[in-house]
Amino acid sequence: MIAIMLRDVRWRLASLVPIAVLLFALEPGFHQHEGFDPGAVALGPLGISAAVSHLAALSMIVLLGGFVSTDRDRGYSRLIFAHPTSPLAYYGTRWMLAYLLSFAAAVLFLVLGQLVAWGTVLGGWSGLILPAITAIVYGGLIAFFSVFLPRGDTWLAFLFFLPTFFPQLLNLALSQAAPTVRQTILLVLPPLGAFQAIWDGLLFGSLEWGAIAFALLYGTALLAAGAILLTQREWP
Amino acid sequence: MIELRGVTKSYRRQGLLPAGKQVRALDGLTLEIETGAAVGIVGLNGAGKSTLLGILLGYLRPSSGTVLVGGLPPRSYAQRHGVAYVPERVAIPRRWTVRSALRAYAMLGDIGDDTWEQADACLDRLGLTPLADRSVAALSKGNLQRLAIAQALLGDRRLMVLDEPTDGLDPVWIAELRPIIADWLTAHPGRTLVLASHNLSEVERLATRVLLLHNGRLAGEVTPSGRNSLEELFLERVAQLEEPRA
Repeated sequence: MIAIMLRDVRWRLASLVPIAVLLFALEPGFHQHEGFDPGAVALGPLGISAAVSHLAALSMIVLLGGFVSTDRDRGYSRLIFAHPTSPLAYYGTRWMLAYLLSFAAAVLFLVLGQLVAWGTVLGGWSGLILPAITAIVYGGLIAFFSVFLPRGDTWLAFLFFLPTFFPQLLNLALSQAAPTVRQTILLVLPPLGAFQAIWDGLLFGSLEWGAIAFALLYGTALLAAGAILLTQREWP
Repeated sequence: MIELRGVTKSYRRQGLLPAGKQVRALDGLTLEIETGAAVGIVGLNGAGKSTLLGILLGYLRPSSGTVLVGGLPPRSYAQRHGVAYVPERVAIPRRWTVRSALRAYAMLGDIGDDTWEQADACLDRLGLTPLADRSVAALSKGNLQRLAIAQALLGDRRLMVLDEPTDGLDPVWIAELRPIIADWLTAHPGRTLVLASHNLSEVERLATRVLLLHNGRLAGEVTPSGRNSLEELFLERVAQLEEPRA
């Protein structure tokens, strides 16, 4: 079954290549030159873990977009679940496969990015904790949306991703908002503050366990909500 | 095998009906289908046939009442044992080929070591081997229906649920379908068939007991007994049921 699931996502996997190229082009850490962006030079291979985590987040959205909603909307689920399998096991396997692929894509991006940019791999392995957590957060988000919404889950997840990539957009949008509205929106959106704290901690050689736990809680809570909803849903 | 007690299913309809108005697809349905039976379900459009089958598979939950299939709630039964099912509207991922679709269903079916051999045998039984590498998106309605029937034959299921199985099939394959279903049914004494269709002649050929659904209620049996065809019995009974309305 894994082979068929892999075959199903081959075009989506291929679409990660241009996304990775774009992220490579946009990541200043990959373009260090004498006298150019000394801050990025100083951050070293851990500095690029933010870009690697963006790839992991986008990979989860791309690989899982519509993974439940499309089956329901188009009626594919009717034949699938006539066979002895549960929706939880079937979609859980697809989610786990996407997670492993996203993490593999992050590792590949970290290694190839360094090789292309610097001609050598300087490390930055501990920075992989950031994409590992980000993939759980965005994987939880897309899983919840895909179970909850009849369609449009991919676009909504992309919309939720935008503040991660362009935090200034969010700041601009919330600059005029009332404090309660601002707090509610920040609570609903992926935990950008936690991501930032984890990244900062990595640069200083420490693990911010509080931030890690908060981000994981956000992702797993959404995953659990999606899983509960999945078991309660009818399959029209 | 199947036991329904006072099953009601209501839908909250949108669109032309006022918001929030409920439509009863099934209305206090009580029904027993014994193991080994071949039961046909007939009725007018909107009688509740597809809703009943959806409930038997656990895809829909009754608004009230209880349903047991093989002593289990329907979804638990399907998850544990699987159901040989052909839906009214066949939907198979368009990116799959005929062979990969059948192999995917076979793998989901957890049917043992000879998964691929079984899948290929089912392809062959439904005459789909020449189309094995064709994309599902390129199949005609009839071929798609045959693929759905092929996947229903996978594994050693005890319950077969068919919703308009002859839909889209040409006369040759309609005739071919009869021995396929008959063979499936007789291959094991514990197998049960539930068939819903507007094709009354096929229901008459395949089912040993025919139930009439009308406005979500069981309106009696219309099992042909030799003198009258199912069509005659059906039309007569429906006319009686519709009479008070006229």
